[in-house]
Amino acid sequence: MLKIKNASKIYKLGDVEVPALNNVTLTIKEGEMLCIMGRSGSGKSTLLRILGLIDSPTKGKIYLSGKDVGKLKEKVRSRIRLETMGYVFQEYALLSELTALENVYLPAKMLGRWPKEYKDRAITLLDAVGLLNRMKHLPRQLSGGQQQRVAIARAMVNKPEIIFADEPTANLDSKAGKNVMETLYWLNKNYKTTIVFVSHDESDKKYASRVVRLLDGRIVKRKPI
Amino acid sequence: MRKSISVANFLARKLVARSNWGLNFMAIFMIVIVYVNINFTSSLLNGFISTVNEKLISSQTGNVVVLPKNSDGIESPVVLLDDIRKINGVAGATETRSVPAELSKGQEKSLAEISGINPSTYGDVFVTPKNMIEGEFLTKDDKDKIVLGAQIAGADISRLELYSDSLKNVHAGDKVTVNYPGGFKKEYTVKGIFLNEFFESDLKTFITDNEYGLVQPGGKVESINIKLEKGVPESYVIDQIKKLRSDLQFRTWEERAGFVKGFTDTLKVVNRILGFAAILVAAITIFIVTYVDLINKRRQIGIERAIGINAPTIILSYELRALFYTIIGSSIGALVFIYAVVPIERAYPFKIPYGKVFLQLNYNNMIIYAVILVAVAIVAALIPAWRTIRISIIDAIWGN
Repeated sequence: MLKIKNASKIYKLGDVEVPALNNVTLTIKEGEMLCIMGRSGSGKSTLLRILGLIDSPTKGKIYLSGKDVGKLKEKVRSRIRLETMGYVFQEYALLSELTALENVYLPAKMLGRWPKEYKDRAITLLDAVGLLNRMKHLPRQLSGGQQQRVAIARAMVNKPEIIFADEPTANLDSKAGKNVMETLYWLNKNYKTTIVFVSHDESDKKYASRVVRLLDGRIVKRKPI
Repeated sequence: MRKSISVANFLARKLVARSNWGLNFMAIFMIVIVYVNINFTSSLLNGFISTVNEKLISSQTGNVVVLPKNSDGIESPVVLLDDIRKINGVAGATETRSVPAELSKGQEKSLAEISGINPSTYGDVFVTPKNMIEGEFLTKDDKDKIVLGAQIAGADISRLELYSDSLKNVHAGDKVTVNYPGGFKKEYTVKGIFLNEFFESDLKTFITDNEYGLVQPGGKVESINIKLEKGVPESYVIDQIKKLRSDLQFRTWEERAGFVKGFTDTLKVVNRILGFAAILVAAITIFIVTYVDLINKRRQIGIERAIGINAPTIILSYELRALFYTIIGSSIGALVFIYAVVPIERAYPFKIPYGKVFLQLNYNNMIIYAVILVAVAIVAALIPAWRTIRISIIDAIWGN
């Protein structure tokens, strides 16, 4: 469903060029739960952002359902992100002025769904991630683990084809981290949602149906579980 | 589009309701201050101009001045005055003839224009008879009586602008000598002294038209001053008189304003400059508030964009917030101005040499200023919002 072909990414820091990805080719299959692993600086977050159309490769192409989406205008990429993708960031990334419920239904509101429809779905998702009793709380009134589960519910609200999670457990204690990973796993199994997540924690690979390892911007190993 | 407006409105409401109330208060307070300031300045200057113009009309020119086309004076003035008074919208008309002369009392001398007036009709046009500070105004049958403006008499009022050129200590009941052109000299008793607080008119001296006929035999009426009812256009009355006579020319009070016109024109320019400065302050305020807020919200905006909220929607949310600040600020400012500033100023008006100045409330101007503020706020909020949106999502969220 999503393919990245011969993609490279070079960041420019003044006159210095820093390669982050080097000629990476990867195909994401529908319904899989892919784990991208690697050390810090290996390029795994860069790969995730390019796959998620948040960033563009310096070279190479991205195909979504066979269509080249790498060079589309930001307006179109924004629409694709809204309709077909969900994101869970490392740093919770909720909007501080919105309650948990409002954070969850905002993308659905943007998509133009009816208020009753998106509110009901947001409530269902918050219930699914165990936060129904926290839906009127602002992010600052929630723990890190709770915020991350709200972010997962938000990522799910538009019934995306694929969810990207960038080290979703990195800032959580082990119990909260486990809870978040189990929630993603549950979504993958029950909703057949394709999930691509980045982790440097070897214990997370048990949730993945496939693991891709990055080293210095190159894929070095693909190991089916 | 509808979806964008709906989401932008939703985000703007939450931005205002759940963000720092200190920031909200400061932004609204600044708009209130700017709005009150711009209206205060404008109303004060308009009040000032209005006071000066009102003094000019009521003590110096009337609304319309009728003059002869040639230097022989106005023919058949009595008939003409009767006809003028019959025109709809004319509140009063009076005739004047005048001659320059030198007044003296003891060693003190002063140059003045001696006007021969009809005391019965002069008060129909001018307020001078009501502004006597000593004695009384002239009556039809007065003989050897003269009424002096305070700037001529002096009357021991040393604060007068032209006191040093006046007779300094002349009071009602005193005798003054008038030296007319040609060497004719006559002594008058000062019947009264007036102070219109408009120094051009306070330089006048009056004798009755009968008395004038004695010192200037055959002197013709040189001008007719007309007072109009409120709201009657000068052009209408001028057109009516033109139908009656063709040997006349006309001047409106504005055309006769002389230095006053230059003065008020300057004030109007000052008014515009101060208004522009106030609008600029408002723009900078909105810009700073939006800019500072956006610096703190860069990551949030990056997240909004990453989850699919498009750039125009995000910009619109900040525009709507600026709109909210401006509308609330202008509304509160309008209430403060109408119900606090204006009543207080009316109770304690500013005093200038021309009299009291009252703030002149102009609702049309208030609406125009509010609309300008809104337009300025939209532009001021757009610039920082647009600049922030141009940053890549990666830089916005992770600050690379």
